Amino acid sequence: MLCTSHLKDEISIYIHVPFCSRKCIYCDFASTTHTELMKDYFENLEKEIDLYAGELRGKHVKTLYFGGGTPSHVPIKYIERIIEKLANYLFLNVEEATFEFNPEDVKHELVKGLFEIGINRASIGLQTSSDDILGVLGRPYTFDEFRKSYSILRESFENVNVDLMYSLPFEKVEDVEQDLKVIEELNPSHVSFYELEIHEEVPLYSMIKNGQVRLPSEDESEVMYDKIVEKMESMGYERYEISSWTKDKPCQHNLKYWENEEYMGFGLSAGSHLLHKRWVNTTEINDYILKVRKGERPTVYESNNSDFEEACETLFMGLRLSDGVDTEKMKKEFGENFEKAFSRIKKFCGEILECSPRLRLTKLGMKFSAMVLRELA
Amino acid sequence: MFDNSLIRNISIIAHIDHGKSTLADRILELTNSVEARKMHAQYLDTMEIEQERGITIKAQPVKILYNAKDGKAYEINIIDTPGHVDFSYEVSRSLAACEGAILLVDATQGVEAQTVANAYLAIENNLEIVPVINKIDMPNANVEETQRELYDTLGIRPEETLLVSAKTGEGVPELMEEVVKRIPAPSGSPEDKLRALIFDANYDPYKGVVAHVRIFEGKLSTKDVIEMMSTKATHEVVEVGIFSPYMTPTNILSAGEVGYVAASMREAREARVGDTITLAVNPAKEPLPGYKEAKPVVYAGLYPTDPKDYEELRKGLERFKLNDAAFVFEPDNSSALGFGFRCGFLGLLHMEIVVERLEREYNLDVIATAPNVVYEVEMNNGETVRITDPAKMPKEGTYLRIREPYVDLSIMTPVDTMGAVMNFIQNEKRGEFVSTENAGKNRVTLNFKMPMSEMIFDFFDKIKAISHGYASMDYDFAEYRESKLVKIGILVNKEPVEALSTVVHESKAYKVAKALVESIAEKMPRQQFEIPIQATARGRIIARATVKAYRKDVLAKCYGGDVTRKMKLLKKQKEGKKRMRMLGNVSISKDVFLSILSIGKEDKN
Repeated sequence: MLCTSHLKDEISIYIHVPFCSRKCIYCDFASTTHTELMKDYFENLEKEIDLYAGELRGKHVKTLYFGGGTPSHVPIKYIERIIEKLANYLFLNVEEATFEFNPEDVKHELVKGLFEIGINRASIGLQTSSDDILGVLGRPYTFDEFRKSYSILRESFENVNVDLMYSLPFEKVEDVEQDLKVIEELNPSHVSFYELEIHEEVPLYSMIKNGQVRLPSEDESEVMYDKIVEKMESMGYERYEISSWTKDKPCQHNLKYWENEEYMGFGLSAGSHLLHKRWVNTTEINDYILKVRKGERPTVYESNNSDFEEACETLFMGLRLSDGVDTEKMKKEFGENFEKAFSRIKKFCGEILECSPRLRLTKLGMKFSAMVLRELA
Repeated sequence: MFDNSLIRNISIIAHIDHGKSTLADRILELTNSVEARKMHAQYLDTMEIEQERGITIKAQPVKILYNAKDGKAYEINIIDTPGHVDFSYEVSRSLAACEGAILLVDATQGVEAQTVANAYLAIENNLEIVPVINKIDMPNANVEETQRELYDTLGIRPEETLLVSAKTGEGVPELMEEVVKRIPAPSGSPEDKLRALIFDANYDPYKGVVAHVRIFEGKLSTKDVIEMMSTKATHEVVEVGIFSPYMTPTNILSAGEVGYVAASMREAREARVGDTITLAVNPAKEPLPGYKEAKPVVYAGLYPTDPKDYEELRKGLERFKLNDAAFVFEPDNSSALGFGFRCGFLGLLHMEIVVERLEREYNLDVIATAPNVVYEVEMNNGETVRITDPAKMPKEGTYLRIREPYVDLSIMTPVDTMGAVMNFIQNEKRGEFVSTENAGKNRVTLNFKMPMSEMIFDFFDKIKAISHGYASMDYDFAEYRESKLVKIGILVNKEPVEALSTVVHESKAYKVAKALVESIAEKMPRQQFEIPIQATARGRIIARATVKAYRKDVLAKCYGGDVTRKMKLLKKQKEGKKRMRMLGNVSISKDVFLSILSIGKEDKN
């Protein structure tokens, strides 16, 4: 009993900071360059936290995450105030507090300040080490500038994640190989290596359609993928999730998402999962401010998941992990709903999916994860 | 009116590029038959494609006047012959319209298989042959060896041969004298009942179908009512005339002459090549010998690139058919390709020419599927059906036997490549060796019987490669033979796709099945999931390949705020996919499907 009540008392917190100096052509996150809204936004973000006082009160926070947008783009005072606000309701015995940086914002003073208020993990977006491609993507820094920013971060933080992408516009396999050399040299404790996702609403999508931008072919990007997997492994990184690699410090906060644990997100576009309930905030900053100002919760989606949906989502997220999910535990928790969810992907058992004792993607399955995961939608 | 004895009707038999059209041009020049300004190089090849490829497809007759050294003016009708083996029946009819033929051989290349075949056709038709060795001005001309080959292959003695250069005109006046001397005048009488041989036809937008004829006996005038002896159909003659070289009305044609007849005929099949024209009143008793109905031997699907052009394509094919009686088509539709036509051709070149002409002259954007031969299937109930589409091959157990067409194939090749050619035809192409003959100092003619289907893919190129470019060949339909054929079915994601099935000999089933599934898997774009491509024969799976799944997707990252959004996106994609289903349960674009269906097409030439 003690154990269960302790679990229920624990929650992870996400704070979304949507401001950016410019919008990258591929970005589909909720972000804005209207920094004049900053003051309003943070005032209302504090208010939003108040609106959930009931859900938050008395809970313990083990992981905290400031994501964006670009949290590093806003004055540190706003961050301090948010932490103070959270401390009003929650026990902040935080083991991992992550803060996202863009290379152009990293300054000694900011980094020191964040370290002093309790941030202990930094995540920095490099995306690619090719200056040419950075230019195409609209990222406002060069690789040399990134390198300086990275060293500044490392002065304060032991645990630093570097974000990289592959299959980028005009990218060649050699570019990816260069990225891998950079990882070898910088030796960060954590690396996220994403394949570029292209959503219809971003400028890059129409640039590709118009033929202005050429992307690597399916086959080329498969070669890139293979190179990444091979080289990261040989450098001693462990792949614990589809796109996440670490030497010894998996991201505790993200693990909560993938294990489908409970978390609450505040700010634009943030999502929450609590007591089988899922809700997501609006992605429109004006909408957000107006709603919260009126004392309304700024959600655009709320759903009480059925046990079956919950089982599907638990599998959907859990299969992203190299360890997959614990079949026995899921059977106990979801019963026949687990069987029903599992039946959708049973056909992959074998080369793609290891089905006992744990249910998890094989190495080959990781490569074609989308094929399996989409069956759960 | 001309005296019969002053007429000479001749053909020129030559291999592609041996200089037939150039020779014809020199003859026209020599006789001032074509005004200089009208004369573009190579008058006889009037079709754009012919001029580009340097081959003659439609025979184009021309009448010239030649003032011979004996002081008399001779009327010489040159009836050109198509230069490709697909049109051997047309060649035989053109030859039948003549009393003699110039046999033209290139001194730099020697005698070719097809030339020999056509020379034999001429001999069978009792034509007087005037052998001519061309290109003697070329530094690499080998007159002696060419003479030797003519002797070995056709028994023509060196002293009979004339030496010319069609390019410079050297020897051409002498040739004309020999034509007049050696080739006999036509013999029929204008007083007999009319018998005129149709050796070709074309479509004229104003005159309708125009039959090209040789009058053997009797007379033919404007307003006569004529009867087609094969169909008994009658027509009133609107116009008769000669080719001098363009169509020129003359009101009357009589025995021995070559000309044209227009009689308000609307379709090419109303004037069939090889048919005999007589008069409806007082008709001839017997037609001229040798009439055959041209039967397509090769079929393929023709589809408009854009489905909305279906009607255009139908109209184009109808107009095309007016000009080409050998071409047949019927509407066809496939679940994957939509509406199109199943078309029959005399052979592979005929098919290629039709497709090209449809695109150039009729402005249609056409895609052709891989061709196949026509199979004869004897059903359990004794009925025999002709299968023009492998997808429609009856089920195993419903028929007693399948027969496939065989050709008589002759290949002339240098002696040192003989072994390789024999090995290729016998071991890879199911050919049966029949005989070998000398064909010059270092050359042989190899005769085979071979299934026609073996010629469709990977044949001409291979023969050329094996013989280092020296082999030449000729073939003609021989017979239908019972054969151990199997239908290879294709399953895409475990569902059969009839349009992809094919028929092969059982000894090749595994090899073909493997190549087929691998090629399909390679051509299909990646899918949302892995797709097995399987080949079946006699109810068993005999080959398998896999289409890879997509990797590029929208699931590279997924965090707390993304779960709902990603799930929704995936659901939307799933629904979109349902709407796109075309091939089995796999979504696949028409372009890809067509590229699969034309597998091997690129290997053909």
